[in-house]
Amino acid sequence: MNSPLLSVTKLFKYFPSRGRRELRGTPEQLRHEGPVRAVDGVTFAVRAHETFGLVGESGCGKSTLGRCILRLLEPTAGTVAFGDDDVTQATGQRLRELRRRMQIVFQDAGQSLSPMRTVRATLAEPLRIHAFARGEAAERRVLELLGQVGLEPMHRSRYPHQLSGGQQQRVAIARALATEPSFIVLDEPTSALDSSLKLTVVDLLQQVQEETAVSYLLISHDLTIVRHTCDRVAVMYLGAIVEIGATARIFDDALHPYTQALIASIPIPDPFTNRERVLLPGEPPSPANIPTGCRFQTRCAFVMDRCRHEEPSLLEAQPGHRVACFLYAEAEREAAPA
Amino acid sequence: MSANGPLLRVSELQVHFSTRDGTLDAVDRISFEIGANEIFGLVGESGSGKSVTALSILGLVPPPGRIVGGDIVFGGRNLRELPERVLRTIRGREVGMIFQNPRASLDPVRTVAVQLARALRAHHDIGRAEVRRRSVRMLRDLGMPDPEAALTRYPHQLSGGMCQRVMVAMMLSSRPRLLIADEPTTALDETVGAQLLEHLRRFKEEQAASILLITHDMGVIAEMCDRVGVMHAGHVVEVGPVGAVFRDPRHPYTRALLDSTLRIDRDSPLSDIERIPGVVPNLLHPPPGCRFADRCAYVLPVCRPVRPTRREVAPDHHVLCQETVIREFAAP
Repeated sequence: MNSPLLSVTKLFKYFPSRGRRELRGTPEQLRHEGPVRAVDGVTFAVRAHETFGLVGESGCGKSTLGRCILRLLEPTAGTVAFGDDDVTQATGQRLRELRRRMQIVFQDAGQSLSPMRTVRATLAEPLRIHAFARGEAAERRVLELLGQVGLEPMHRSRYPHQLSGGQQQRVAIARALATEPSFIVLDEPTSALDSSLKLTVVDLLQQVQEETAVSYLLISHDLTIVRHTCDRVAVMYLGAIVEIGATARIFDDALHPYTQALIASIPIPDPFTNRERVLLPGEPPSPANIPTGCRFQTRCAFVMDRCRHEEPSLLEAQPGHRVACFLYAEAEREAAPA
Repeated sequence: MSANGPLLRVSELQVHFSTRDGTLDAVDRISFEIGANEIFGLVGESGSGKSVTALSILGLVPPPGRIVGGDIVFGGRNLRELPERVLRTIRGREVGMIFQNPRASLDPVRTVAVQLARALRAHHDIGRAEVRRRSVRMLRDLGMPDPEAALTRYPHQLSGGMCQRVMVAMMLSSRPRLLIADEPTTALDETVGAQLLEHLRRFKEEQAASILLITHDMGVIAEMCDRVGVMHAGHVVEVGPVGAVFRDPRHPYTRALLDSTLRIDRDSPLSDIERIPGVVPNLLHPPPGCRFADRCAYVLPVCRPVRPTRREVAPDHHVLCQETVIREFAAP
């Protein structure tokens, strides 16, 4: 088994629900202030050369988690181990070096690229900041990056508005690749694209991974894309991972009632498939007001008395497949030796 | 009004947009029908003309767009010949519409209660208490969390899913015979989108209404629709019953669209999924013949200069393609 490239341990990110005061203290101390618990104690690891999917609906905290891992947001508590470093503690030169090796691609390239900069300037900036290449060498690297993402040398002098949506996303990917990172957070990289373009961007990301052995954390609400690209998947609900495992297990044999409902809600392009419709009632509660006990209990069809008082932890139900649900905790307790 | 004819018949509809760079041929002589108590889907990539078609039916094509040809016959009346005053009563009362962005279609400065009351009062002669009772009941039926509280809120205080529920409640209270839903689930989370589709299904059943459902998602078509029209570059290239179109697609674009669609219930490697080559042609200068020719794996010399005609390949199943292509395409 691969050793992890990145290990996230008990990561929390709380935002103040009122005012702008930065929250200080442990999650337990802060809880009585009624903060927005965007990321509420998340533990998982990404292996080298792996594509790890992070799925969940809007507001579940997946993007906040991605930003905390890169320290674009300061986590409230927890650690992010990357190689020998703890990202959450790194400062100065150390943090800069980590940022060279950890990159991000945002959803809307039209907004994440500077409208005032040519493609060349956009790609040369990370090379300069990280003293990666200068002058002639930088120019060569820019050409190399353009080739890598399927753009032409002539695109160097273009501004973002002169590019199509697909081309903009290619530039954003090239920018993330510029300093040869070993880990890239992909935050909804295909969501703004038409379905045929989506596939070409996914193809590109896979090709880049084969060439560079980079690991991806793919944050997406598009479960179909995740199913077809990821090695392992974590499902988030209201700030916590409720299920995690190999992609095929999650999609073909989901255990958590939320994962089951989420997958069942994706329409299948086949009028002859007869599938049971699983509808979740209502809407997810606010992350400022997470239910006691199991955070999913207010919408769960299988809710038991225990779920209302006690929070289930993420336990292994099958090798490599963990779920936070008492439906399976019982089975495990019986199976475990006394 | 004929009882057996289609509820809506669009024939040879043509919509142009006059731009600085010339005339954009957005919808080019398309025809389709929607039967009574039927869900009809229009599917295609962005820029294929689906939304413009929907707006045409309501007479709401925004300038510089305008309808330059064709007929839109709804319940026996040609909507293109009716004055705006009459059209306005048809919109909302007989033909309703829900959009992709529900928040933008609600009034930002009125509470949900006021907007719902307005919709209810326009169609029913009922008092305040009854308006309130029905508002709460409708929102509860639509799965709105805490409907009493929701009534006091403004649209910006609600999530996208909640706004969509308010839109649907307003729509249902006017009991339209045809509901046009333009990408109604695209901006919603999956589980909320699934709820909305269920409400649309129920609306069709309970009110014996018809729905024109516009989407880019073949999954939504398969799960919701009775019949489907496939649009590409301003043409309806194939139209027919959903079962027939999915089992036996007769237009190369429909086949390509189906083969390029990923399925949540399949583990097929990405390399097995077809990519549709090329892009939708520029409709400022559309090619004279078939608009799919440059992307088509079955293209023949005749396809580029000659506009294909609409052919019936099976009962109620039409394709816009050259006969020889259809024949070759159908061969195993």
